[in-house]
Amino acid sequence: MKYINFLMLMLLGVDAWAGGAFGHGNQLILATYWGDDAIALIDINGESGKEEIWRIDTLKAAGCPKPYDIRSNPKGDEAYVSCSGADLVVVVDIPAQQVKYTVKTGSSPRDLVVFDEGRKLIVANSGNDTVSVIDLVSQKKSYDFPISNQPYGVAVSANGVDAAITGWASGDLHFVRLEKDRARYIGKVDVGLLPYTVVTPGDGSIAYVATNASHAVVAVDTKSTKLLKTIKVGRNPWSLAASPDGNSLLVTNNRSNNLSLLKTGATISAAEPNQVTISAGAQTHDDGEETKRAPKNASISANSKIGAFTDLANNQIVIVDLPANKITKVINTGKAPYGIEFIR
Amino acid sequence: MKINTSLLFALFGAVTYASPFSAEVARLPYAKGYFGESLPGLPIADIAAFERGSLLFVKRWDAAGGNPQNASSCVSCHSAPMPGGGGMSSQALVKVSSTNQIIQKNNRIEAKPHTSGETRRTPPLFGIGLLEFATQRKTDGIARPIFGALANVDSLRDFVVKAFSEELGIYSISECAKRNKRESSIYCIPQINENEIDDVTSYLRFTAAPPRSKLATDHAGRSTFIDIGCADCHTPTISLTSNAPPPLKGISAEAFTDLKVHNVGEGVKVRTTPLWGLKSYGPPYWHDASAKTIKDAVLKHNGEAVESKLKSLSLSDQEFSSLLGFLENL
Repeated sequence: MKYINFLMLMLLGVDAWAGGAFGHGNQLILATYWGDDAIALIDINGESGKEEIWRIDTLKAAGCPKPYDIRSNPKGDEAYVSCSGADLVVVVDIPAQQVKYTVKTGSSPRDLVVFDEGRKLIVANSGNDTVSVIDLVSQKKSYDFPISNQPYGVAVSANGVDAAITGWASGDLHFVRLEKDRARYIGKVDVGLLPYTVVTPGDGSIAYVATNASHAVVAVDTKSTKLLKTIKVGRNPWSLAASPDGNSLLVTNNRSNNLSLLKTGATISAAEPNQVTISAGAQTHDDGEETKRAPKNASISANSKIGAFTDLANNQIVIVDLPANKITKVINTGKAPYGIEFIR
Repeated sequence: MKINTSLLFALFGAVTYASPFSAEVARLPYAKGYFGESLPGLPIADIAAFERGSLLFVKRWDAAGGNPQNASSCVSCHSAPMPGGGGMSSQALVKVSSTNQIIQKNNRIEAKPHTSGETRRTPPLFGIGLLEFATQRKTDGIARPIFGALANVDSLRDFVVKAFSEELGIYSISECAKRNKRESSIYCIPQINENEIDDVTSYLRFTAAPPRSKLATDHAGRSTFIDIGCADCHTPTISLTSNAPPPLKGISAEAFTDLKVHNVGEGVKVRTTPLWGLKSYGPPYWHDASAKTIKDAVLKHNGEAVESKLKSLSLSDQEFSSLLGFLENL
């Protein structure tokens, strides 16, 4: 099967990896199947039922149980996976569908971000209150630094230096400056209950945090570390993704069966951000019963027009036409799809 | 009066959830979507208490006067795969003395010498309200204690009070009243009131059981699980008493526990762990987090369970694999 998939990749134009993923960031998705100890590469334009190009289900054997978050490098040929059931980040060769190497982190790593033009990786280690910075060139960890309590989400500004990290259990957002061999702690601000994902889009002047149990997205001025505003969204937002054009955020409201599309960017200082609610829909089963979707994580395509989110209730990835605010495709996945990212 | 819009949303959700479905669906105690939902079919008042309790569960508590604490919130340890779940890291391990005294990691004012203790990983709490009202708890009509690391706490509410005081260093009004009667104790300042304790209890009581896989009933490994004796202690079904609150009253569920305490080797006694949702709570597995895989946990069974373990070792590779497949799909 693996060879058939490989042939399929060849037919699709695997040589495109030399200069970026085919589809130019609008077609291929990486996802983690937390409940299956697997990751997958998905072509959202693939034939219905055959969207999965490959699945690596040997992560557990590589010491990576419970893969949580996943990111790719700018070139689109490497994926980085946090192993929340262990203390590792696994680096995967995407075209070869193989684990290239692993890097030891702190315990139970969660969100991760590639920065410094693909040369570095940062990962929040929820299990031992640390954050690891990894040098992807030397393939080694540069350093750890402490963040309490239970760091889950992490973001690095475009300058590659300023980082924001959520304290899941302590309800705060921490700011640090990433230096060559250490991190300098700047400060923190209370943001609400169970802050999870954080993003610092555009120039990084504002950090947006999804606060799960406060049912809100919080905007924080990264320079002053002061809270700018609290935007009520649906129930239990788990994550948010920033559009590459800097004009919107896609928020996954886990318990209200919908998404919030927040207008940001240039409009943020002029007025309250516009908010559009998009239904996450439901899956109808053979017996006629419906299960409403429970969105977990989200990603937005390079052209900022396609949204995708993982659904924990039905084990699906759902594709959303953002300008039209509607679901366009549903893709069945492995168990408990958590992490998701469009390959750029 | 400040209106809590989230709560209104939840109440509205409860009404729309409760009304259109059949009674049969509403009575299933499993999460319909994912871990951490409230029980389907809850009365509105209980939904409100569940929501209030859930916020207290995730709140960061700053213990007064340097009270000893292992964590600053319930969710610090009960977090995987969702709030209310178990602990997947070493931070979520506790030491428990033989008298069921939680041994604080950061002993300060009330430091007591403990020469020995058992390590216990934080258990998931989803569906604990079903265990509370299980008829299997009863011996001669009296409910046995099943709560706490050593299964010697009688009620879910007492367990909540104990967890707040011993794990978080947060004392309730009644707990402080007891402590302040003791001559030598430091003056106790209550930080949580009795209504809030009730709300946290409601949150736990009305959290749905883990979502149920269709494979759990049809899997070929189920018969192996029964044949080799696993089901002698991990008995599949619990039935709930008629005095349980709705929607728990009189229903049955597959929790895979007899709720009894057994010796599982080297004198360690543990209450049979419910196996529902097992794979989502680890690694690590086993009561002391010493098993990296479910297979390791199976092979760690000794004491009263040694016979079943030996039978599992005599299974063919295919049968053993099927057994593991069944356990992974509960």
